Amino acid sequence: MSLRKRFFLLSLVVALALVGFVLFYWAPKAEFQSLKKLEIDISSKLEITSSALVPLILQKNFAAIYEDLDTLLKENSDWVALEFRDAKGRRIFPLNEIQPPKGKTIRIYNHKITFGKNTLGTLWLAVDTRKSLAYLKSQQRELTVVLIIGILAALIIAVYFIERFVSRPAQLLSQAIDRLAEGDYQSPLPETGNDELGRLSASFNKMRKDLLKNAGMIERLGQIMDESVNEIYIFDSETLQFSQVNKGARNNLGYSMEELNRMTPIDIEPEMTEESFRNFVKPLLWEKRPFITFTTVHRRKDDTLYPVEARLQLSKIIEPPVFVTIVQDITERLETERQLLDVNDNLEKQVKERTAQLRMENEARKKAQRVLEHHEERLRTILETAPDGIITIDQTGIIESINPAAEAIFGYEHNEIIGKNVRVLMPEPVSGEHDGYLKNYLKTGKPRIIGQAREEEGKRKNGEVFPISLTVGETNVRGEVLFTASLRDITKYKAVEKSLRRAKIKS
Amino acid sequence: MTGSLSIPNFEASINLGKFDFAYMNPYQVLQAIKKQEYVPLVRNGGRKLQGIIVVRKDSPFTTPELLDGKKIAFPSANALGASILVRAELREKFKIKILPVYVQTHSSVYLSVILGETAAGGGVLSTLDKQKPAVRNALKIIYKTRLAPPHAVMANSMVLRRQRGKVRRAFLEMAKTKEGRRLLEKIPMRDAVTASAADYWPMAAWGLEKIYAGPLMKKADGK
Repeated sequence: MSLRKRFFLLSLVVALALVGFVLFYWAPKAEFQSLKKLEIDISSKLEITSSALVPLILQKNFAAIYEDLDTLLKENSDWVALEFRDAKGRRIFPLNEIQPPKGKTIRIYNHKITFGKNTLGTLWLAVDTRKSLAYLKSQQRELTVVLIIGILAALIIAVYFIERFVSRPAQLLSQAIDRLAEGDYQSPLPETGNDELGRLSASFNKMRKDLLKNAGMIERLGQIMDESVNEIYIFDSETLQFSQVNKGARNNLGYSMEELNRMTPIDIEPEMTEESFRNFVKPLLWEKRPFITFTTVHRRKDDTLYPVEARLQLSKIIEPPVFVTIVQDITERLETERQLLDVNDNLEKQVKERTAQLRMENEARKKAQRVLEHHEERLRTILETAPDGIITIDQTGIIESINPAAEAIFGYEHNEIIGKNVRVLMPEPVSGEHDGYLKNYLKTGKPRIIGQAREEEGKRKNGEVFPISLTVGETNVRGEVLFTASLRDITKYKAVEKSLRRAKIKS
Repeated sequence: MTGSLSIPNFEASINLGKFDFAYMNPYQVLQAIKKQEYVPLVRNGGRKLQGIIVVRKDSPFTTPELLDGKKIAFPSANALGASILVRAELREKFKIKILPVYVQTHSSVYLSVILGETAAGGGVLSTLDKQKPAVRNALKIIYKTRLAPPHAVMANSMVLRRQRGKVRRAFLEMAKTKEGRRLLEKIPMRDAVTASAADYWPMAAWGLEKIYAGPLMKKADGK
């Protein structure tokens, strides 16, 4: 049953219940209450009338009595008959005798008019409650009619709104979802506003977009699978018939998809019978193992064979479950492995030869090293014990070594002078020009002092300038130019020379 | 201008000559004239006052004489037309004694007769005619009294003759215009005509004083 129909019926039942309530419960109750009130009302009116009539009766003012009673009759339309008789029972009002009205709705009231202990007369009143309740009844009818019209109107409006805001959108939505179920992810779902349905629609729309995206992804995944260099086989877990075989496999085997759809793995695996295959896959079906990896051979359509490594698993993602086998043609790999083994053998041989060679070389090197070390030791001893000062500098003038004799001459410790420019050991102006000499020599190859012994001046740590005899040699150690200065403090010699010269002059 | 709260009050005031001008019923006019306290100026030019005796249509009392010793309804003791004129004639002319029952209003008189409370009732034609057909048709008139002159506007004799004349003329002038007549109607006075004591003197012989109960009667008796 449609939502609309269901709602309509439900509302109708409620409406009928409401009308029933009004007609069968509320109305009789109201009527009863009204009658009760009417009774009280009439009694009170008769009482008042009696009181008013007393003086008139005593005065025999019939006109006033008539006027009063006439007025009462006129004012109370439900008072269908009113009679006043005096104490003797003679009819005073009205003039003519009346036929007592009859009917279910007629109620009779008798009211004695007394004055002190005397009864002056009796009022007899017939009331037609139908008339009394006419207003109530008309109100009831009006209420019922209004109720029915109101309910009908409300129903129509509600049905319209349900149609407009629920049924139609729901129908559109349901159609759209059907399309979605059929795989049409392209057509968008209807926009139905901001209510629950609208949100539902929006959710479905989002789902549709996701599905669209996923569908694309699945398609791409399918393509990827199809394009895979691996051979992928999907076959039914019961019939074993191939349902999908990717391009790589088809090309390698030489079968078309139509052909493969009629085949089972046994047709391409000559090493297997159906029985052995079924036994083979049992651990998967019984879920004892998640997958089986094995190597076997496949037979192409042209009956040639090729070795494969296969990984077989049961996929329960779709119903009924299928086997998925990912297979690799290992022909090339086997070949490569074989070649690799060959290369390996070769390499091993070479390594052995080379190792022997290296061992020999090593021993020779060790020997040379020992010789070298010995040599160096000797050299160092020579240097350290040499009476002359020996200083080596590099091509930029930086002191690389200084022997104890030189240390003594200049007053420097070797660790405070090594790494400094040799200039510090010279007085001006040579000190300032030394770098220039070096550069010049390195550029032109024209030496100023190299190779010849000569007298120069040195400068001690304490600033004393003194004469030295200097010889500079050049060596080339592993491509690097080194200068070796050999020097001697000739202060004493000079002093002797001076005194000799002075003596000579004197003489 | 002033009014009185009740008829006895009014009549007492007339006795004392309290008003310069006064509107009186014929009996009061007669008494005032007798005392020479007031003089008539104008009176209603319309129908004269006449009492009637009614009985039920099926009543055996077809003449006033038959009502001797019977209960007769009247509105009140001093109602001139319905009560005094009728009772005076029954007494003076028919020499019968009746038991008057005063029932406040003319309508009550008629109802009383119909309901059989009284054998007959005293009324006037105009009120009988105003009854509902059911009442009117249930009754028959068995006697009509003499015609009494109508109400009159009286002037205190202390008021100057010239001024009395002015007032009388003013009334007479009013009666000539539509607007004036409309005003006079409210008194009620159908038409205004000059009134004279002579109009009222015949009533002096009707023996009304014996019937009347009130200040005027006492004074009259006192004289």
